[in-house]
Amino acid sequence: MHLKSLTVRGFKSFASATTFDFEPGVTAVVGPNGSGKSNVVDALAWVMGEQGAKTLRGGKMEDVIFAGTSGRPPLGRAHVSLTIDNSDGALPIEYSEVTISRTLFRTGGSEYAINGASCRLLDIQELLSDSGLGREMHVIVGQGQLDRVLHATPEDRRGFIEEAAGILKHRRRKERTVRKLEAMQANLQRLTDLTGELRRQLTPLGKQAEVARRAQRVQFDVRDARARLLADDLVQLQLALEQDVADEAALKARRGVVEHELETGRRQQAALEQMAAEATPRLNAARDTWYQLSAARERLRSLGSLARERSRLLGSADAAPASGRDPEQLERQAARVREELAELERTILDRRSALEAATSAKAGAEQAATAEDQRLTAQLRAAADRREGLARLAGQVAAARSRVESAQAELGRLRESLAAGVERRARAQEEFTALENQVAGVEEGEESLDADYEDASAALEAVLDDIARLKSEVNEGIRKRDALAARRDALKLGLDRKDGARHVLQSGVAGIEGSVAGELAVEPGYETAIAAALGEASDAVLVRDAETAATVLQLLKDDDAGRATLLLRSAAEAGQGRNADSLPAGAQWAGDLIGGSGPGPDVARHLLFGTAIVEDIAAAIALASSRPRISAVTRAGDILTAVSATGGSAKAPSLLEVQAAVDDAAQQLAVVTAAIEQNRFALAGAEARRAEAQERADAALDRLHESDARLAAVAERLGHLNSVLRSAAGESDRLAASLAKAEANVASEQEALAAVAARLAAAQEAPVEQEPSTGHRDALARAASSARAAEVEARLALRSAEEQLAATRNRVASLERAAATERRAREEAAERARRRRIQARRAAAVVAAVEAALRHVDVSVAIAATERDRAEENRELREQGLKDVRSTNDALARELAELTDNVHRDELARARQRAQIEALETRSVDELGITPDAWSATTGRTCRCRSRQRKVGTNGPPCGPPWTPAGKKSWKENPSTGQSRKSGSGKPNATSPAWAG
Amino acid sequence: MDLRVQRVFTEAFEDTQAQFVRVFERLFPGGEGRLVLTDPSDMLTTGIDVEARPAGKKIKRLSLLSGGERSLTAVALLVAIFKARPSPFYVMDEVEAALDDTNLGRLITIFEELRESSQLIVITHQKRTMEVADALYGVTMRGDGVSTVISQRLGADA
Repeated sequence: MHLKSLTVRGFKSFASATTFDFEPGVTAVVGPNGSGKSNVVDALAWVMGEQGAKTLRGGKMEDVIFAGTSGRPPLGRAHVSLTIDNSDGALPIEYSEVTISRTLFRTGGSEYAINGASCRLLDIQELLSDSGLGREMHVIVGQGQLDRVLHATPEDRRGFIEEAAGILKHRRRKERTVRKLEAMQANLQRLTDLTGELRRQLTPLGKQAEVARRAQRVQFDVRDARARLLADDLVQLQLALEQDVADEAALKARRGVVEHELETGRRQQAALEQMAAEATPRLNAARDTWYQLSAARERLRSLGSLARERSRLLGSADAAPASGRDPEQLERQAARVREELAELERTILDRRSALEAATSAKAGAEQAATAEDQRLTAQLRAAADRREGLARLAGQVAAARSRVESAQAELGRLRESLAAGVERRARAQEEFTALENQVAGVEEGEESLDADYEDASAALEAVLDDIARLKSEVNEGIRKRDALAARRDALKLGLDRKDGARHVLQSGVAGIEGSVAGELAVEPGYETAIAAALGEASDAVLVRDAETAATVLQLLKDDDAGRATLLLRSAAEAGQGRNADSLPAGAQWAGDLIGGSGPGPDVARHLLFGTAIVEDIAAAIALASSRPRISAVTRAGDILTAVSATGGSAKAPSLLEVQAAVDDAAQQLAVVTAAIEQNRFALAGAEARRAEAQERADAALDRLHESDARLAAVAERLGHLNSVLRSAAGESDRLAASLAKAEANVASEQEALAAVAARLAAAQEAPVEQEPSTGHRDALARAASSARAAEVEARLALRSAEEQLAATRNRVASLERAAATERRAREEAAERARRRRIQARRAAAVVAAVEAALRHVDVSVAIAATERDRAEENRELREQGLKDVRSTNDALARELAELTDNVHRDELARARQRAQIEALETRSVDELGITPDAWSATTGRTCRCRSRQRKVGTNGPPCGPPWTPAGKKSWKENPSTGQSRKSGSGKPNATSPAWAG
Repeated sequence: MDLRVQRVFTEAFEDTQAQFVRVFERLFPGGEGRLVLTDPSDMLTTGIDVEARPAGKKIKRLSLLSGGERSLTAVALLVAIFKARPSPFYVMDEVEAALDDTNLGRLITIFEELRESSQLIVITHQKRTMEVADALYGVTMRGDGVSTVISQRLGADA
């Protein structure tokens, strides 16, 4: 059995479906922190039935559902399914592959399934626990599980082992059984308790039953007594009811009588009222007649007195006196005044003509005065004009004169300037001539100086060229020398290779003679060949003897300094001689090609014994084949012997070759250095010559410059003088021109002056006019003003006369009006007197008529009064009768109301009595279950009761209570009434048969 | 039933005890570890104590061990249980996180023993653990908070 695959969907961070296929063996899940690796473990635990949300690192179970991220919405469910390979049958189920799955919905639902069939959690746990996958899941070691193991109590650790051992399963079954047994025990206990309790309660229950039986008997007695009481109450009430019904009938009879009487009384009252209504208009007519007559008498009386008064008044007021003046007199006065008026009109005519004369006189005088004034003004203006012209001419003369004077002054000044200029010109001319002579002398010396300088310059140029050539040679030499030195150094560096040989040379062990290569001198061109022939020995170190060699080798070993070839000098000392054999042409012994001092070459020769150098490979082959003991070495470094051939492309230059190159470079370096020194010496000599030539050239140049400076100074002076001369000549010309112009100017100005002066003289000679007089004009003005005054006076007089005339006319009119008015007033007074008299007569007649009428009216009034009194008496009699009848009626009505009230009250009382009876009956049925008719069997008063009831029943409808099942109990106890109950029970709402029967 | 429990437990404990001693010696060469019963007289309720003594140390109490030693001891106990009563598979979530290289090597040899009999699912960060795995799954989480298996069975058959 093993886990085959795990599919996770919506579980924790696995939002989309993800499948892990597990292999038998080790499956590793890797990934960065926080990527959800542990969620795989949680998914495994969850699908196998893990219940604790804490174990799954969540707060509640819903936390395992993908909760959504910023980019994805949360999901509604988590689903994990695990496929287990069961081919070995480890799980107790008949499938070779088992898929268990668990689904949790966010709404709270949870589902388990085995191979797609829904099941319970317990099924999954049972399925897995048989294979050691218990509920505790010790096979899943999560993060922190280790800590739990460590910090667990000993009992907890026992749990781990128990689970692994499968004990938990047994233990769980045991616990379940124990729990069941305990529950059973508890139930049993409760049963025992219950039976004990019941047994304890039995004895008091017996006693209670006895008491109950007795109580029932007492209740029956009580009930019987109560029934009897009720029956008695009912009979009493029914008796009272009958009595009351009789009383009520009597009352009703009485009420009928009273009602009849009241009716009669009311009819009588109505008749009386009718009569009264008829009498009332008659009485009113009589009273009205009397009132009218009395009012007419009063009016007649007042008219009579009014007429009397009037006639008295009109008769007395008759003498009206005539007032005012007499109209005739007034008219006379008016005529007199009219005469005055005519007089006045005449006066006015005179005055108007006087005014016209004055007006004409005033106009003449004013005209004359104006003319005189104008003439005088014209004369004054002419005189002013003449004076102004004179002044202007005088100004012109003065100006002309001043211009002439200034022109003359200018002329003088110009003349002076001209003289000075001429003098300056002459002086400059003299100086110029002297200088020209001087210049001629100086120029002669100049030419020899130029030649000197040119010679010196040429010499200097030659020397400088020499120096430059030498310098370039020196530089070339130095460059060459540096290159050679660099080459030599580089080669030397090659010599000092980092190898054992150098270490040996530097170790300073006694007996080391030095490098073999250093001591060898090879024929040029054969270095490669010799190096090849020597092989490793070309880089070897020469030591004294074998002991030294041993020491050196040990040293190399100790220092780990590489390998080295050592040559023993002792070998050289003991060495073989030179090769004696002869060689074919083109070949020569290698030992013959080396030279040098010291033991090195000897040792080398010893090594090279039997080695020959040939030109090329063909020769080498030939030599080797002909002389098998000889090693043939070509110039290119290939070695051939009778049995071997070594060679190829040139390998790295051997120490020997390098040494040769170093020597060559050093030699060339020496040559070049010597050449440099030589050149430097020549350069020093050239420098000395150059200095001399330079000095000479400088001196010549100085002299030349000096002479030039002198010449330049003279030339400058000459130039200056020349310009002075030129300016002096120009100035003289200019001055002469100005002089001529100034003279012309003076002449013209003088002419102008003369002309102006002549005009002035003419003007001054003209006669001066007399100043005009104002006397005549003043006289004329006075005359005009007096004429105006006269006119005003005349106008005033005319005005006053006209006013007087108007006043007089008014007076005449008023007088005439007064006369007319007076006359009219007198006529009106006469008319008024006549009318008065007529009225007085009429009033007297009226008085007489009124007195006659009064007498008749008094009689009529008396008759009307008697008539009225009689009518009133009649009316009072009728009213008295009516009042009596009314009071009788009222008394009757009151009695009737009282009777009605009584009847009603009785009815109410009876109704109440009936209600009481009904209530009693209801009570009897409710409390005792006995209907009233049942008493006929139970009480001794049955007959009386029934007869009464029957009597009542005939009067009103029977109103017994309906049969109710409530009476059941009583019927049971009274079997005698069972028949009645039976007949009644069929129709419970029907009236009792006892009542009906 | 109690008798049966007692018998099964005693057997399991003895097997575990033997395996623990063996595993502990493998994980702590030179060290000594034992499982002891707190109350040997009552096999039904007795607890179990762990005594661990790494090489060269005298301590026996678990709390005085270093972190790596403690986790190794715990692993030893678990592995001892696994070996005493094998399960078809085991899941281990970063049990070797606190171990040094040498101890990790020792633990891996234990893993390889377990792998003979059972299936192992291991969550790990250690490259050497990955090396011994038969199959390798890479789980990653992009910025959106959703885990994705980016490489299935990387080391399958490797």
